[in-house]
Amino acid sequence: MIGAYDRVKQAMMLESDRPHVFRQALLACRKGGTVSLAGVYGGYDDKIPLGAVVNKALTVKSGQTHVQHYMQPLLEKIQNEDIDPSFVITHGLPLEDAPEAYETFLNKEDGCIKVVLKPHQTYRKSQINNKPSPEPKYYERRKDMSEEREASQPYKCAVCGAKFDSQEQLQDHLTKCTQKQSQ
Amino acid sequence: MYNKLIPTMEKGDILGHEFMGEIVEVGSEVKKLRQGDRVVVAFPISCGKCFFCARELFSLCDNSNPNAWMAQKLFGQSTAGLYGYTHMLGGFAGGQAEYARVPFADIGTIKIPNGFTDDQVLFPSDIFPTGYMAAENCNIQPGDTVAVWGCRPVGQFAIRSAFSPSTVFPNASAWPRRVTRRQSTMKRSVSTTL
Repeated sequence: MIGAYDRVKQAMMLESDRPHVFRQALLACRKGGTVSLAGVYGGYDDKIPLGAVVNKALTVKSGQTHVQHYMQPLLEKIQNEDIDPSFVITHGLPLEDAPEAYETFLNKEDGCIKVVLKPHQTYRKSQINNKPSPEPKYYERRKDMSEEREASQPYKCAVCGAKFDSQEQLQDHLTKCTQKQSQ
Repeated sequence: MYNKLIPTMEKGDILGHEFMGEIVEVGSEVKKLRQGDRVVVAFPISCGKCFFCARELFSLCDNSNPNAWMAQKLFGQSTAGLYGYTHMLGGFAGGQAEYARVPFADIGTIKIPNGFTDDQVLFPSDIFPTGYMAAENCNIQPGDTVAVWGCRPVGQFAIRSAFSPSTVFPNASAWPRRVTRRQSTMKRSVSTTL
């Protein structure tokens, strides 16, 4: 997605962000619509299609989040069980593993979406709540979840790696997969 | 910051702006918190009293960036200081550590009640409000089509916030992936493949 123009400018430190997504959003947005720019950008970017903004009468809204304005209402939604934000966590790791975790997140390896780090020797949750912590050790829970995912789809195609819930689905797939491979 | 696209990071800086923890010590001006409280910390550092904080535009605080001159050069005006987020935005040590110092703690923290795990309550520190504010900024009306570019953590919360401009969020049951959503109320669907 990032064209040669942006790559060259970023390598020479002449462009400080990656503007290709913002350009695409401005061009794709319906005329009269709104582009909400969550970010994060830090400097100057080239070739922003301002013509699209003006002629399509777009609204661009942005900003670093005014977190304190939202914390109480969103915490109430969590308390009311309208949402459980922990769904987004894929990796729970000790703080000492942070350097490797950054690489994993950056390279989108291992299905990484969100990493949470804990200095597990210093946090005493069970004492604060006056009851034993109901969850197993943080990083072991993450490992359990990935094992559950593996167990739920145990049938794997040896050719392309796709996973299925049953032997029948795998057999159907194998027929098509090997045909495709031989073409 | 990791790829040096935002300037003024230095070797030895402590990162981390989405954090929570147990309070081990309070300063003399802190009135609402005490030792032992479990709190989540907001990533902008905000005084609560300036022109912008008074209007609840907390990320624009006039008083919390000791290196305001740096941000002013790049942005025209300085914004709030942020934890672990370059020297241009204050040079504050971040939360990826065993201890963190939280200025203006009465303004920038929220106490967590018993009965909720860390995983459940951590994200009001940043990505949940960020996704929610991004969706709110669009002024979404029933029947509108919404596209989300970037469907990792912030995008996931933006998607869920976009489905509910009012009070109820749908349960997050799908494993996070690139999004293709279709609803009967939408006139046409947009698939995002970035």
